[in-house]
Amino acid sequence: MNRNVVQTSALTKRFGSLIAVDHMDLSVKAGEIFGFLGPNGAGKTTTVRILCSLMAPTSGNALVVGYDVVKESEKVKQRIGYMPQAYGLYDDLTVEENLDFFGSVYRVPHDERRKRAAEILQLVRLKEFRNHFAGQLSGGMKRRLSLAVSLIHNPELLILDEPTAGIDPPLRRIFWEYFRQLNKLGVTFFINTHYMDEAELCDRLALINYGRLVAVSTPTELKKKAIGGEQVELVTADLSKTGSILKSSALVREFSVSDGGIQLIVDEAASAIPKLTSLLKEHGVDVLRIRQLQPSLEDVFIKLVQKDSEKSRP
Amino acid sequence: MTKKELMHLIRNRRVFAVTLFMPVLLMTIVGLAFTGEVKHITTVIVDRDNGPLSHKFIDALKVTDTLRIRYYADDEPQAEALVRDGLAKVVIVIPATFETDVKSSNGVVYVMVDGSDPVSAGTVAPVVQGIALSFTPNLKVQVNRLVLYNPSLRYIDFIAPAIVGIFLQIFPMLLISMAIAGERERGTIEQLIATPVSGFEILFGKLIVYMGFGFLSATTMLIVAVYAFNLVVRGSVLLIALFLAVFLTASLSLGTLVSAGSRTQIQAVQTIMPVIYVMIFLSGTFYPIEAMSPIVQPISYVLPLTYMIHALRSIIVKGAGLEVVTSDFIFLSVYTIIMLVLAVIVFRKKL
Repeated sequence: MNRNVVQTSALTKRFGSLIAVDHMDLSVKAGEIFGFLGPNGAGKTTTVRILCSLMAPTSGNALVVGYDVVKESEKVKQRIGYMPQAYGLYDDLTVEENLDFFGSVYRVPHDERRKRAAEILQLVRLKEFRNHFAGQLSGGMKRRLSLAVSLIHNPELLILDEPTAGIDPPLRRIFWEYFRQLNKLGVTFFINTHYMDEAELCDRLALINYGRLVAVSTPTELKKKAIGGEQVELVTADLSKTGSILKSSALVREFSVSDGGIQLIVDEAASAIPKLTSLLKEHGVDVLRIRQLQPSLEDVFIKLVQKDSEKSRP
Repeated sequence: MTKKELMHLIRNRRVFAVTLFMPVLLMTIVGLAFTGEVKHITTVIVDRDNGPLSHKFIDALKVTDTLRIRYYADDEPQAEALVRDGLAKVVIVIPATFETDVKSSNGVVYVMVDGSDPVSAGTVAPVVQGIALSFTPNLKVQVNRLVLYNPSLRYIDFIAPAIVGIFLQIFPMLLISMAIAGERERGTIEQLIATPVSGFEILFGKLIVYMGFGFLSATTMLIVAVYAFNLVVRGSVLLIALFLAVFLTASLSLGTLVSAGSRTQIQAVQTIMPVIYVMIFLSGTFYPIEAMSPIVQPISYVLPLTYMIHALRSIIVKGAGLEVVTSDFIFLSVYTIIMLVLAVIVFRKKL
C-alpha cells in the first residue's frame, strides 16, 4: 500500500504564453486524502485534467495509478474516478440511467453494474430518486449523483475538482462523511478545493500558486511553516512592562502588542506557556490570560502565497 | 442599451460575420442563379430529312441560347437514351418528309423534353415554336410536344426527390452538430472523455442514431409523396436506400466537422446556415443548373447535393438503374469517404 498513486515530475502545461502548470513535482500516497489548494486560476483544474488524461502536458510526465497519463491513458481512465467541477451528466436521463450509462462505458458487466449502482445510491442517499430525471434534481443532489457516477467502476483513486463548490455547509459535511467512508475502504482522494475548512480535513495539502507548487505538507506543518512557529495570545495587567520582559526572553521569536493583548510566536506553545507564565510572575506581572492560538488556514494560505509571490518577484 | 447590444454583436465575430455576410451571400447567389430565363439546355437533334431546308432549320435553332445543340442522333430511341442517361434534356425530331411537308404548308417538328425537369421542359416548347414560326412565316408549322417519362409535367416529380435530398443534407447535419456541440456546452463531454470509451465509439454511436433518423425521415417523405401526391417511384428502392446511406454518412460527417469548431449549439447552427443556403440554391433543386450563370455553375458541380438530387430524380422519375447513376455514385462515395475520414480525425477525445 505504500506506493505513490500519483507521481509527477516537472509537469508543465502552457496555453500560449500562459504557464498554467509550471514544473510540478507531486506525489500522492496510496490511501491518503490529498488536498490541492490554491487561488482561482492557480492551475488546479488544469493539473487535474492532465492527471485524468483529458489533456496532454506540454512537457514533463505524470504517472497515475502506475500508468503514464499520455501513453496509457485508457488504463489510467479505467482505474480512476473523476468528478469534474462543472456538473456534466445527462439531464434527460434518470439517475439510474446515468449510472447505468457510465457503468457501461467503463465496461462494468451488467449484473455488477446494477449491484454497484444500488450500493452507491444507498451511500449518497439518492435511492428514492433513482427514477427522477437528473435535470429535475436540486443542485446538491446533482453533485451527489456526480459523485455516484465517478464511483460506478470502483476506482482506486478519486480525483475531485472542487466537489463541494457552491453547496451549503451541511451538505459539505455529508460529502466529507462519504469521502471518509470511501477512504476507509482504501480509495485514495485527490481533491481540489479553495475551502479552508475543507483543506483542514485533508491528510496532506499541496499549496499552489501561479502553477507552481508552493508547499506540500500536513495542515499542521503548513501552519508552522507559514507562521514561523506557534501563536500564543497573552493578556496581562501591565502590557508595556510585559513587552520589555518579552523582548529579552529567548523563548519568544516575535511579538506584537495590540489593544486587547499581546500576540507572540514561539517554537512550541505547549512548553513555552508555563515557562512564560512563571517568568512574568517573577517580574511581578499578573497573567490574566495565556493561550495558544490556532491560526486559520486562511492566514497560512495568504502568508505562504505572499511569501511565494515576493520570492518570485525579480 | 443599444450600444451594449451593438458591442455584443461586434465582439461575437461569428454572429457579426453571419449578420453581414449572409445577406450579401444570399443576394449574390439568388441573383446569379435565377437569371430569369432558362439557357443552354442540352439538345439532341434527329434529322431524318437531312436536306438543305432541315439544315437551315437547325441553323436557326442554333441561334437561340435557350438550346445548346450538342448531339445528333440517328433515330428516336438513340436520342431518348441520351435523355435517360441525363446527357440531354430535349430531343428535336425533324421527320423525313420535312421539306415536302413544309412546302405543302403542313410541316411538323417534334419536340420531346425530359419531363423530370419541368422548368426546362416548359421553356423549350414555346422557344422552338417561336423559331419555327419565324423560320417559315408564310407557312403553318405545327410543333408537337412529346414528353418523356413525365407526361403530366408534374412539379411533385421534379421537387420530391430534391426535397428528400435537401432534407437529408440539412437536418441530420444540423442535429448531429448540435448534439456534439451540446455535449460540449453542457459539460457532459468532459465526463465522457474521462471514461475509457474511445472517441471513435462516441462518434459512431451518434452516427448510427442519426443515420437511422435520416432513413426514417426519407422514408416518411417518400411515403407522403407517393400516397398523397401520387409520386411514382419507378426505380429500385434498394438503389435509393444505397444512395441514402452514402449521402447520410457524408451529411453527418460534415455535421461532425462543423461541431468540432463550435463550443455551443448556437455557434454550430450559425456555421451551418450559410452552407445550407448555398447548397439549396445551387444544387439544381428549384432551377436547372444548365440555366445558371457560368460563374456559379462550378460551385454546383462540387456540391454533393447536386449529385444526390440528380441520382434521386433519375431513379425515382426515370427508373434509372445503377449503370445510369454510376458517376453520381462514384462522386458521392469519394466525397463521403473524405468527409468521414476528416470527421474521425477531428473528433478526437479532447476538450
